Amino acid sequence: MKIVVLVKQVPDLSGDIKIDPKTKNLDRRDSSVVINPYDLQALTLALQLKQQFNAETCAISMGPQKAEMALYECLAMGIDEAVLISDRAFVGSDTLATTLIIAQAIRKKIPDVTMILCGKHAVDAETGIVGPGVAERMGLPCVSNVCECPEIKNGKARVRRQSDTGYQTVSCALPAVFTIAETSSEPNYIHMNNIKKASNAHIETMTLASLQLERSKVGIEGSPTVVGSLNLVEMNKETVMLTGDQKEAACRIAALLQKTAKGV
Amino acid sequence: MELVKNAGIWIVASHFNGQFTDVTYELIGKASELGKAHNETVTAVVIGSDLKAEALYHYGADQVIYAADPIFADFDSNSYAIELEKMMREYKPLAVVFGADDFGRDIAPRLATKLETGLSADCIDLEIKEENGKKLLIQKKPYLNGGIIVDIVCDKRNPQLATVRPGMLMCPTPDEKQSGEVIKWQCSPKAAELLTRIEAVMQKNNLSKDIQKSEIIIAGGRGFKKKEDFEKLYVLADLLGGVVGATRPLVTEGWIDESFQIGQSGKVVSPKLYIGLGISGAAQHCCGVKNTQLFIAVNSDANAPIFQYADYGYVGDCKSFLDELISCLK
Ligand SMILES: Cc1cc2nc3c(=O)[nH]c(=O)nc-3n(C[C@H](O)[C@H](O)[C@H](O)COP(=O)(O)OP(=O)(O)OC[C@H]3O[C@@H](n4cnc5c(N)ncnc54)[C@H](O)[C@@H]3O)c2cc1C
Ligand SMILES: Nc1ncnc2c1ncn2[C@@H]1O[C@H](COP(=O)(O)O)[C@@H](O)[C@H]1O
Repeated sequence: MKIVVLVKQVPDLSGDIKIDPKTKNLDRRDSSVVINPYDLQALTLALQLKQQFNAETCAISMGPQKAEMALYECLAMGIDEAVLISDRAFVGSDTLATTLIIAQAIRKKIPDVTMILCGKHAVDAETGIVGPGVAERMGLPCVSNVCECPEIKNGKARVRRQSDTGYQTVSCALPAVFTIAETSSEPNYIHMNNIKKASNAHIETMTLASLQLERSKVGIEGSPTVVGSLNLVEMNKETVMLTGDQKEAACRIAALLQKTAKGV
Repeated sequence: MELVKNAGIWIVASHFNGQFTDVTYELIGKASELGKAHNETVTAVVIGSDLKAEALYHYGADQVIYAADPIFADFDSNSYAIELEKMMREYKPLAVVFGADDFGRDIAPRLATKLETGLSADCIDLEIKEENGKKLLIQKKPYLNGGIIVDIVCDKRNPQLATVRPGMLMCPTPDEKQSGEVIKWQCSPKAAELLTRIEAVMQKNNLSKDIQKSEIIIAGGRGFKKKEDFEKLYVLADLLGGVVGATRPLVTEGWIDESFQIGQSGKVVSPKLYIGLGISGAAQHCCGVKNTQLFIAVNSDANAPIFQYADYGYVGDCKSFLDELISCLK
């Protein structure tokens, strides 16, 4: 069994995020990067399956050279192999171009892949397009929002997914793509001996040339979506802070509540 | 009836248990508004089995096209996308819009890939702008926890695809007088195109108290130290006719079911009234609260970020404040 996990490095949004009002970009001065939290869940599932089925695991990330750090982290968690897809030509790729590049990398690197795991969405742009898009490119089934993989047998998988209205059990043939939502398991802690292995590991880099892709299909040229204007959401409302003792404040709020509730 | 080619806004209807979803109606409403302003027809497309597709006319669709087959009885993104691709190649609409739900999230990326066109997911609003003779669908998408709204366009290819979050647009009032004939789409899907099979469904039974439909939300966070204190929120909710929501830590704690979690990984809500007690106001929570008329926050820390979102704030203990509030209302 061979498992590929797609890993994206994203800005750490767990703290306070600041947006530069001029560039309207994330103020990166004090923001760090992390592995997309849902990708951590995907990694955790991959490591469970590695234990259970002796699966070979490979993490793949597309991004700038520094995304290597995310891959070293994957290796330290116990993932066997890591590939970085990086090339100046890929800069500006939207999801259509990204899925083309990632699908090609998987075909080249692990042609006999059993399962491709990715996060249900990346927390920076929140598109959730890459998983189903890769599945389409590779002609594979895709189940999204998977939270458990209770059965793998005779070339088929049965998974539990979160649906809009509850949960579903879905089955499909393997190979397949699963996008991972929150699972009940805690992410793997990094092991000392894995750190040693990781620091000696070689991370393969794949480029436009090694992937044998057409220049016009990737990067800005290969991306039909264009980001137009950016509008900062003003959160600094005029807030009325109520002073005075609690009883007074509570009664004022009660009056406001009643008025609005009546209008509903 | 002949369908218009090379134009029009298409809505892909999503459905569950034989019922269309609210977001389908919301999208038809928005598309009609845009269609009227920019002279485009609105076509609702249904893929499924045993559905009352004519109902979509009541919400303002100009045309309803229905691909019916028992193979489509259960949702499967591959077979649905294959059928949609055939329709798109024949009619070449200007734009195709989906709800950002189980249907849209899975089918739209497949369709975009097949047609090699652009897609933006999880939009909160749509507009049309005419530029150099082309009608551009402006796809409004929140970025970085909703701190920024980005306008995304796909100016070189058609159709322009987008998914829109449920609950973001106004739902039109149905009018039974608006009606029409459902156009049957001839199709012969193959069983081999079904790549996934739904074996079991476990539905949440608390849907009657759907937080997304509630106009009054009483939300609690980790400022409540005990479950029994948090549960007093239900008393307030009952007094006001609202629903209780919570932040993620309380869901993780098991104090409340996850279908009442508000935020990035929970529900996006747009109540008229939101009151948040003991909630810090993390972006991941607050990005799930939209379009409130009245936003009230109570927190013991005067610097809590939630006050930036609030119309009225009070610095104090949420537990005793709640007790006081309940007694004032009684
Ligand atoms: C990928 C990701 C997705 C996430 N998705 C969501 C999501 O969908 N929804 C969500 O809610 N969170 C989500 N989170 C978590 C989010 O970042 C915050 O951790 C969470 O919202 C904080 O919840 P809280 O405000 O209840 O708790 P805390 O941040 O611990 O805040 C408690 C607040 O209560 C105040 N307080 C303490 N005691 C009292 C008192 N006696 N009286 C009054 N106030 C008091 C404190 O001052 C503090 O401001 C997500 C995080 C990540 C990384
Ligand atoms: N550049 C990338 N490199 C590797 N994996 C990615 C990349 N972009 C997206 N993914 C994967 O696809 C998932 C969904 O991302 P997105 O479609 O951007 O929301 C992520 O959680 C990752 O698993």
